[in-house]
Amino acid sequence: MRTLNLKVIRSLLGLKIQTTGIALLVACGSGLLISAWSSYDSLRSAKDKTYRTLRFGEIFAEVKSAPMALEPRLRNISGVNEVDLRLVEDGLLHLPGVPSGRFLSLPPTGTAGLDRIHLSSGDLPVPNPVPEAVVHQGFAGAHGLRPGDLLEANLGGKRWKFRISGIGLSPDTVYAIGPGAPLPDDLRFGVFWMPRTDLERMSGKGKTFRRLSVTVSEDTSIHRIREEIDRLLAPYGTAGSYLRKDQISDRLLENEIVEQRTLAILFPTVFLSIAALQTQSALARLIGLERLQIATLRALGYPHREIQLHYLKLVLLMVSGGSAMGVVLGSGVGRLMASSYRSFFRFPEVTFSTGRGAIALGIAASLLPALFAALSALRAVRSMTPAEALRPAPPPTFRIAGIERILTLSIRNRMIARNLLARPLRLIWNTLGMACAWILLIMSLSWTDILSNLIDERFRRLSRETLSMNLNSPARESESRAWSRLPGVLQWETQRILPVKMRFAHHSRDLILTGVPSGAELERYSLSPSVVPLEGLLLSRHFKEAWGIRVGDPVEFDPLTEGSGRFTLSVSGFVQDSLGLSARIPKHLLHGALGEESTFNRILLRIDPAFEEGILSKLQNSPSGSGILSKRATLAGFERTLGTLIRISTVILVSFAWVMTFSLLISSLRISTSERHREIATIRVLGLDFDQAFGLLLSETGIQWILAMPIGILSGNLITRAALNSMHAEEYDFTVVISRRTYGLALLVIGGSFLIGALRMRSISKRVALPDALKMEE
Amino acid sequence: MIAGTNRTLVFKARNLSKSYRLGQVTIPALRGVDLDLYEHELVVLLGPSGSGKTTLLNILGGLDSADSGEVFYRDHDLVRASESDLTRFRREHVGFIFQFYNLIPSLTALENIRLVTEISPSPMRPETALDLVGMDQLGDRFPSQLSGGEQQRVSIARAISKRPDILLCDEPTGALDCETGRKVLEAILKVHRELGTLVVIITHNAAISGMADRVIRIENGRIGDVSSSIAKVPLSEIRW
Repeated sequence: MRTLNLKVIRSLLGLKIQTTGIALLVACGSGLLISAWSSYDSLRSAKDKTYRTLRFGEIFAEVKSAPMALEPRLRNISGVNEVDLRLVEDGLLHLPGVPSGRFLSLPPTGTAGLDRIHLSSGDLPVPNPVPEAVVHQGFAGAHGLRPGDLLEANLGGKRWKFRISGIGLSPDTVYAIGPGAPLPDDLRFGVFWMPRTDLERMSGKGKTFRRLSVTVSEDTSIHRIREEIDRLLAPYGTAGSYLRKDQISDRLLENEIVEQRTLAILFPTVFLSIAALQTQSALARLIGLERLQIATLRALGYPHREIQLHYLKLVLLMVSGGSAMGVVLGSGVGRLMASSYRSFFRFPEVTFSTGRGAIALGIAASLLPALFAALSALRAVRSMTPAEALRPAPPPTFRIAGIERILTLSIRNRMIARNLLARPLRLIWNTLGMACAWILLIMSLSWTDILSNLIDERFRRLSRETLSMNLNSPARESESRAWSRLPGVLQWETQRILPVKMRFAHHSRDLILTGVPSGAELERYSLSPSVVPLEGLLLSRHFKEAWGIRVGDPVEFDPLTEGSGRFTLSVSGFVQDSLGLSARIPKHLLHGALGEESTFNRILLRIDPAFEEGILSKLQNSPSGSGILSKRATLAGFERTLGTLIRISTVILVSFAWVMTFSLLISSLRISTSERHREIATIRVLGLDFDQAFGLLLSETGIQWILAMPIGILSGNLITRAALNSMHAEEYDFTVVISRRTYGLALLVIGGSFLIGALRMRSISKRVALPDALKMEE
Repeated sequence: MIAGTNRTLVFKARNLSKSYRLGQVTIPALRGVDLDLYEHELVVLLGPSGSGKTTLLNILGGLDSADSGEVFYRDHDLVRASESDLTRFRREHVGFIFQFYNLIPSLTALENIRLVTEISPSPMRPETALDLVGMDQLGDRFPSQLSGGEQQRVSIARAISKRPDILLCDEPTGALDCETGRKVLEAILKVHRELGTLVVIITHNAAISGMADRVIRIENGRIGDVSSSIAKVPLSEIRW
């Protein structure tokens, strides 16, 4: 069969454009799957590796203050492997914005114990007259800190100077989140680690601890161990022990990773399915064009099995070229995605490796539809006798098109209409294929729309303040007027915020309960006029969906930082929070629950931009304020982290979608041109010039693209919404919006690809001499 | 019908019928054909376009099946043969020559012949086959680099390279001018003489009848007049 193999190679070379088109489709589909899945895999193994090497605890608990003498009793709990007790002290830093800092003690040997530190630069601190500390790398990055820098902080009622010895992070602070804060905020909150002796001296807390972390041996009852821990810590004020999965950094991280997994499944599935469908349709048409050659081979005495094998080889070579490109492309793009994770997820190390499973899946998903296409196309040829296959395919049954009864069409337009309507199945199939290009583009481009909408909604239309400041302790409401009198203040509002542990049934979660004054305008919670009014407790709708809370249900709140006791509030409604989770309540009701007078500990200011710098520096010098934040800085931070990650993903997706659209279009145009060479030639013989004749073919394809537009827009919209709505994580509950810009860009990409493809086909078609074209079989 | 002689019978067809459906119309192509073909004969099936001659040729060559009646190739029943039997029949016994040559465009002349010699039980060397049709100098050309006559001669070389028992030619000169057509017929004649192959040529060109041992006319799917040539016309005198 050597000559038949030669034919495979020659056919492949002769079908350069079609082969390239199909190979690119396959490469994009499998490449996206391989890159997305491998980078997700790398992320997951980076997390596991970080947790393992830095010895992340398995059970945690916080207490108001407990003596270190408890350590032997905790260690003796059966099943407990290691116990790590840390002194924790919160304080304010003398840095722009007066951020708050959480200072944790380190075990005597900095490298021992649980939740160890990974240093990205500098050294671990050693006891010193000028204390040393390792600063969390997120905070160091946001404030431009380096080892050797001197900082000042208010700790234990005194102002202390300390030196940064190193920059790093620990497994419990991959995301560093302030008490009750919804999302990490590196500008406003940082974590510091110091030798215990230094922190004891600075905080004046002596041999006590506030945070416990333990690991347990396998096959022990976690439940029993937690009960023991809770019993031992109960006298010292604890909200109870919790597992690693409820640890705030882990939970946030896990949410992010799950979201990456959804992305790694969702987008490649849609892309790969479209690639598979298109490969199948292109191959079926290609084999259809080979009908006469297949019939000749049969007439020469080749059995069907060998012909089948011959075409399978051809298809396999076409597709496996694409698969190989997909593996290379997938690894390259995956590496790029993994490196963007590195800056977002802050793992000490994200080692990218192309997953074997992803490669196998990518290759199988591209090969199987191709083989199926080849076999089904060959089956169609087999069902004919060789004599039948040797004759040109009978023309379809042409009819007077319905449109001709309504409109008077020119002869050429009649030809176009009848040609399209004579093969309704082909028309539908081609139109659906073209609609796929819209789905790909809308799905990829909509990411930036979602991001812009999120920014616009969250940072412009809901939060309308310019600056905000938290107070170190609640102040009387009357004191707020002093702020309103500052020059340049256009509007001001106060809030009473309370970091709490919220509990419902077996669920619990740290968050901030915000007491909102009536008629609040600077920080709104919804843009919809139909939303429930703020007359009682309003929660993020995540709690309704994930915790099963209903209106009227009682929810328990345990204040985390203030001494007041536990209280219960009943839920009056739910709102959509695009970023982070919230609990809101009318301010007076919160005062009532806390049994206090009208106070505030957060102030929001909308100011004249010309006065922003002046007011900011006044706030920073105020002794009572902390966590001062300008919205511009928050927005910049958001853009820098999540924005960058989304933009990189969008660029990758859009590039894949663009290449796929182009290859889909060019291979479909190329095949149409081959199918119609003879007809175009005949029309030219009758006296039309080349462009008029080619125009007929192009008009038919063009009409299919126009028909595909509404179908593509509609299905692109539906699929994008369904896909993105399915990936809501706790912290992100964004609205899926698709802007006119997205539709416009998609139209531009499709129109541009069509134009390039048409010009290319025109030059190919024009090169065929008229007599040769006339002799070509259809 | 021609009366039986003592020559060996190769094809025996009885009451052969075949019709096609074209849209909603049924077109009868063969209506009860009886036919005997013998070893070493050169037969011309003559008839206007649409008379059923290609259908008959296709059934004889195992490319198509009859609706009713019977066809035997020696003692092989072609009507009841399975697809793989027909494939083997074509591979081992039949050489086809088509009006439009049907060469594989991606293979050179020599490779087109190898396509056949590689699967035949006792083929000749592909070069010998090309030599027989006077194309030995052009073996490395692709079909697109050959004239119509040259392509048809390659197609003849491909057909004879397996040393077929039967050579079935469907309008072999239909797409060619007189002079080129004559060269093609010369090649067919040479093969017929040197290899003793049964040759069946279908044509609507009456001029070609002069070279045949027998001329069988087909009209409206039925066998009409059958005539035997006593004195064949030399090819050089055939014109159309």
